[in-house]
Amino acid sequence: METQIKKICHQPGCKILEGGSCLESIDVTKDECPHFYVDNENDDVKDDNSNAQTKQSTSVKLFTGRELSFKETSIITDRYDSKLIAIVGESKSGKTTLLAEYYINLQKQPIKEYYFAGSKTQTGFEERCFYATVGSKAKKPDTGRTQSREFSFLHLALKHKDELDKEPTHFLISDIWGERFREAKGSTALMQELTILKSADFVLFIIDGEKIATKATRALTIEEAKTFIQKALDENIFDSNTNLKVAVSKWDFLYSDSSFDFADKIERVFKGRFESRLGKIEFTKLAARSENASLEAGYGLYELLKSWKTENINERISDTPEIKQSSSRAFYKYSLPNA
Amino acid sequence: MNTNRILFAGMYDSGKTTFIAALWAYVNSDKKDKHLKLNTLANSENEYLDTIRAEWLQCKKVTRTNLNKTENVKMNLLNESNSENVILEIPDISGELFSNHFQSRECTSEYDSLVNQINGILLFINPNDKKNRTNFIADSLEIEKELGGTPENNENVNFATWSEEQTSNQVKLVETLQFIEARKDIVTPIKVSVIVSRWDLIEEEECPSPEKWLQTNMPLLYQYLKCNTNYFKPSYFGVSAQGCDYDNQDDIDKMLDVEPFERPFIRLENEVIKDLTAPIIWLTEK
Repeated sequence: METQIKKICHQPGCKILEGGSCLESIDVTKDECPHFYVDNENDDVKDDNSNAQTKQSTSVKLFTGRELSFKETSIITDRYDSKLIAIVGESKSGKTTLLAEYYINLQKQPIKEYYFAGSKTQTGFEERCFYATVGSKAKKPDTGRTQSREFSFLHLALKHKDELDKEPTHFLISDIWGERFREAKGSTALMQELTILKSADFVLFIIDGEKIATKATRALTIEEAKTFIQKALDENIFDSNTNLKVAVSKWDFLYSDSSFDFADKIERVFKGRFESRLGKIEFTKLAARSENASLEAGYGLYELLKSWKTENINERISDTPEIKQSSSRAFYKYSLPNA
Repeated sequence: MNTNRILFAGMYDSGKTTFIAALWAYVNSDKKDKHLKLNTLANSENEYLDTIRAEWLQCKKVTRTNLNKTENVKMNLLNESNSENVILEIPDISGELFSNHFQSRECTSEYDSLVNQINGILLFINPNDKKNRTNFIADSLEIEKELGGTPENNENVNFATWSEEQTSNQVKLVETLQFIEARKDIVTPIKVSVIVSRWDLIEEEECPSPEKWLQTNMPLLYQYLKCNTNYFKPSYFGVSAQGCDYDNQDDIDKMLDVEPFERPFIRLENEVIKDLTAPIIWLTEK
């Protein structure tokens, strides 16, 4: 019995599946194309199953809509100018919530002057937004925990309202299990696995504001953040090309707390210690989902987006970093928010 | 002779089949000064068109008999203004198919081939569909807070599981357009007539125009269309193809007293017209 092997190409505009040539003139038989691979799900289709074969032979694969692995981001980067944003922070610090809230806000209206121009990862966004929807049966907005050990990226294309006739800005924003960062700050080998951070145009380092608001964990949280940045610099993961923004998330927990001085405890300390070794270091406060009536939900999100949109980026490091990951593709699994 | 292949896209119950039925009745009618009229019935399979027209003429809800089958509709028409023969090929595709594309991430080669041949798109939206946009908890909490309610937490919540079915229509329609953009070599922008159907049920004081309706009620789709004019050139139409609410017997009785071609109306930006062919004419104009 012959096994039917089904091949997939996610590259928009590529005619290889219709018998044409590869859009990038790559020899797909040598397994060199990042967009073209064997769909193993169909390996067990047998010759004698003629109906199923007929159906499959007449189907055309569309782009998956899911988050992209670093390799797969080339479907965007090869076609458009894009900005790669790496979000760094420990588990539950608010990395995925930040991503989700940008997409949720765009579903309601433009983010001030920024209009939604498309996304090749809408399914990935939909999954991440689910626990913020009435359909999830949650009583208050929540976010499923990202459990993937590999970097993957969500795509968002935005246009300024006064430049609708121009090309959009394409953002590729990372999402990864926060535990990877906790582990990396104490291990050279594990820090070296985060080489993708060297390719980022912007690195957003998120410190959990809820932990800072709790006095018992305040000092520890700030020290651990400093340790990560120090380790990343000493292992050359961060360097003089790194454009770093340090954000304190869940600012609604600290907004009314007079015992915490952001300028002194965060800005002065981090700037003093790291500014000379980085390309740039800036600071921001975020409250993606504020529970403080005095502080609007989405606090800081627009300003952060504006800085990514308007800032010119340094020349991207030309050498693609060696990617150390356990499989050739990254897959996400989600757990319930309380799990 | 101009052959125009038009894709009628939209979710389930968005008014695609009703529009085709009303259009068939309109071009066959004796109304004077029509922009498009029937040229000939020769060499055409019009049984499906006659079946759905029969329901429409009797003010019955127009239904598809087979949700999985694409009905290939062809109308041989004459453009009165320039005496040009216009062939309309409109595959009547069920709304489920567009949902399935989002879920399965594949389409048939027939659909793919159609997409590569289309001259324009009629994008149908049912303004009463509760799935047009997602309900977010934060918005519900705002309302609850105003009513004096106390927010609950997520302890002991039996969470639902995410599936593609829970995705809103506006996200799915953006994806439908993105699929087309990904599969078709677009040299000149494809014209898209955005049809907000059942316009007779819309409170015009709140939504003065179809474009404003889309901007307010499906903002993600609206932004996408505004940003992608290099691929899609939109125009907005509020269409009442039935002319009344078929659940209201008094309305039906009144409508049966009216000439069938007088029932439908179309809301443009600044005027109401009785020409049901307007969204087609706009698509087929050079």
